[in-house]
This record gives sequence, structure tokens and C-alpha cells, in this order.
Amino acid sequence: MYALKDINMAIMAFPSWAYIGAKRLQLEYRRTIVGSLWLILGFGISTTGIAVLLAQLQGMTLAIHVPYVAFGMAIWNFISMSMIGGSTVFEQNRAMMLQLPLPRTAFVISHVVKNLILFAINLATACVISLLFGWTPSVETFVIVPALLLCIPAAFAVTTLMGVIATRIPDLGELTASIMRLGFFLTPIFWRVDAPSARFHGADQTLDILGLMTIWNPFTHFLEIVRDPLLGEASTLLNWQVSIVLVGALVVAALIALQIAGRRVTYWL
Amino acid sequence: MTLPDVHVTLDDLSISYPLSQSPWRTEQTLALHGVSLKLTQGDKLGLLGRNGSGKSTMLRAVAGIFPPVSGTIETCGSIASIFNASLGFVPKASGYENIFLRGAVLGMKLSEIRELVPYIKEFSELGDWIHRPVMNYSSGMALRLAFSITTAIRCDILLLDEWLGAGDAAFLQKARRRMTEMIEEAGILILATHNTVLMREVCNKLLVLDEGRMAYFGDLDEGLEMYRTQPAPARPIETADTSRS
Repeated sequence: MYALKDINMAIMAFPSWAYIGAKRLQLEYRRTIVGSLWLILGFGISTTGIAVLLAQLQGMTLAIHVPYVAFGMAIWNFISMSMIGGSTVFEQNRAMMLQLPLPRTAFVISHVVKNLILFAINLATACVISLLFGWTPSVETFVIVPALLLCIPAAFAVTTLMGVIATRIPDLGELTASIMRLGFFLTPIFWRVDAPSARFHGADQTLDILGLMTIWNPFTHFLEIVRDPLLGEASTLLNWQVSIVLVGALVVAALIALQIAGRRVTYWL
Repeated sequence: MTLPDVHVTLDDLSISYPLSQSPWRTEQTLALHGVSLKLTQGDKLGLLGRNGSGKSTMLRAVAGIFPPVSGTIETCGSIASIFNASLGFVPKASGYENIFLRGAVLGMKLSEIRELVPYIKEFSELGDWIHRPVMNYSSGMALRLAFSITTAIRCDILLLDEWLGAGDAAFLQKARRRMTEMIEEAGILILATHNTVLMREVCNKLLVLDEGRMAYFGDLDEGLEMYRTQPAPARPIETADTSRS
């Protein structure tokens, strides 16, 4: 089957493609003075600012809210970059794809590795910021391991799916960017459903809008299985159910897309 | 143990491109139509034709970049190709880093790539420039680096598309010598260029494409004579020179 052959060929040269992904990350800030330190500074500055502001708006204590926002933002950046970057992954590598018969998955590997490295850096930065504001890691933090493991096939699937479809229908890139912009607000990243100042929540209102937004937003569940262990909380069964089903569906969809349209991607570049 | 013979076999190959980006319009434009030929060890094919006649398409099809719409492509042997001077270079990275990036793309290990660096440095004559970002190179320098990287690797089938004619005379000579060496070491060359002088020096067979179809396939000298005397709209450089004197 073409899709499996493509994936296999790319995985056989995995170190090379991972090296290219990491190298690209290093090159991004090459001509700046601060250099790759921007990866930490950029994330640190915006995250801390948003966290402190929203803590005030929502009536939360900094020690609780700053880690909540910091970890949430790190995870969201990973999701967002996988989705938006995935739409342009083949277009960006157009020159190389028209020179050599390379497996499509190769570019997916480079992109995912780059994003995973960035995710790790963001998580580390989030840890440092959180520690400064009074967060203490707990034993539950180790539960993050299965959640992180789930991130990997999720990233591969999303990138492949978006990449293949966006080559034929570039509108997908625009649509994804718009959805992610909106998603940043609709997903409980810098706000929480149970904050003191959160309105329209609870028994005295008939329509729990915030609660509905939270539950029906697929990003929420994915975010929570990674964030909850870090905050020492347990994710709900629903979180895990939705996340696993979602990732499973994405993997299947990605394989189908790769099988149908993967080979002829070069015709559409 | 006998190794399988190096060969390139095209059988009634047809390739078409989608005409419109829109997924609802399915018109295609036929770039190659019914091309059939077989090349074996020692064949050096010159590819001639007007712009848009399908030369680039055919080269890329042989390289495995465009899957055929109908017909088959069968190749036996490792393939190396240069389809444009910048070769997918990463502009912000230095020439040196790009060697490693290119090697990685070709599936080589870091140690293997490191062994090639002295040859590439020497052949490209870039000197200290190899450690400067490729975005600061002239097109000639980028071309030399690209050619040096590709010819550092042994291959059985070498595919070159229409750029060698643009190099300066000194480099052209060096390139020609290196290409001849490589082909003698290995098997098959396919060179697409308008520079028929270059073609005469390097190739022994000729394929002329006209709007995607084979107009001539066979011996080089005969083919060039025929191509020259035909009232073809695009004249090779050679003809233009002699008519002026």
C-alpha cells in the first residue's frame, strides 16, 4: 500500500529527517542578536503577561493561575503549530520535492520533530515561570507521560492530513488559521470555567455557556490530559475518551488521505 | 554474482498536469505523450526541444517525482539529479551546513557526508565562502556548490536539466570533465540543454521532444543535423552563431 510504503521509507531515514527539522529550528533566529533565546523569551514574556492579567480579571491567585496559563499556552502552541504548519508543510518544501523523489512523510517527520523540540522548550520555560510563581510539581506529574505519548501520533496525523488536503485545497490553510485564532479564545487556556468571576455558570442559570464551550470543544480535552498532571489534578474519563477517539480518527483519516492523494502531491505544488 | 544491468526503460509513458488549481475543474494538460525508449549502460542521452516540449517533465518522471498517468517507467540503478542551481538550498544556512542538509536529504549518515566535504570544497572553489550563508552567493557560486555536491556521490544514472550552459567557461570545462568521469564510472546520463555544442561533446544519443511526443530518437550527430535543417521555431545556439558569420 502506497501510504505504508511512504511512511516506511521515511522512517528508515528518520535520523536524517529529524536532523533537518532540528536544524531548521536553529536557523530561524540566526540573524538576530538574541538568537535562539527568543524561543524562550518570546514565550516567557507573552505567557507571563497574559497569565497575570487574567488572574486579576478572573479573581484567581497567581500561584494557581500562572502555571495554569503557562502550561496551557505551551500545549496550545504545539497544537496550533501542528495544525497551521501542517497545511503548508509540502508547499514550503516545494523546491526539494520537485528535485528528488522523497517520501511525503519525510517532511512530516521534520515538521513534527521541530514542533516537538519547540514544545519541550516551551514546557521547560513554563515550568520555570510556574516555579517562580509558587507551583510545586507533584507525583501526579508522571501521568503526563501517556498524554505526551499521545501527542506524537496526533501531530503526525494532523500534519499529514492537513498537508495533503491543503496541497489540493489551499483554502484549508486559511480556514485552519481562522479556527485556531478563534480556538485560542474558546478553549480554556487563559480562563477557567470555575473562576470566581466566571458568569452564567452553575445552577442559577439554565444555560451553562462556558461549560458547554468547554465540553464540546475537542481541543479542551486534549489540552486537559496534558495539563492536568502538571497541575496535580486528574483528568476526567471523558477527556481521555475524546482524546483517544480523536487521535484514532485523525490517524485513520491521515492514512486514507496519504493513500489517495499522496503520490500526486507533486502535481499540485 | 552478476549485478542487474543499469537501465532506464520508458514504455508508452504519458504524463499530464492539472490545468487549474480548483479541485472541481479536472482538465489536464498533456505534457508527455506515448514516450517509449530504453537506455542502457554507456548511453548518454541529449534531450532537445522547445521550451514546454516536455523535457523537464520527462527528466522528473525518470527521477520518480511525477508518477505516470499511463504507461510505465522502469529504472535500475541509483539516480542523481540537478534540476536547478539552487537545489533546494536553505538560504540562511552556510554552504557547509547545506552540504549536510543535502546529504541528509539523500539519506546519508553524518560520517559519510563528512568524508565528502574536502572534495566538495575543492571542486566548488568556494574557499572561505563555504562558511557564509548561501543567500549571499552569486548564482554561479550556488551552481558550483550544487554541482559539486551532486557529483561527489557515485550514481548509476545522472539527470541534468538545462542549466550547465549558463556556467562560466572555466567551470563548464571542469564540469564536463567531471561528468565524463562519472558516466564512465557508472552508466547513464540524460542531459537536457539548448547548448548543442555541449551536447556534442558529452552525449552519444539524442531525443527530440515536440509538444510531448518523440520527434526523433537515435544517434546524436544524425539527429542534430536533422534538427538543424528542419524549419523549427526554436533554433539551437550553434545555428544562430554560424548564421551570423
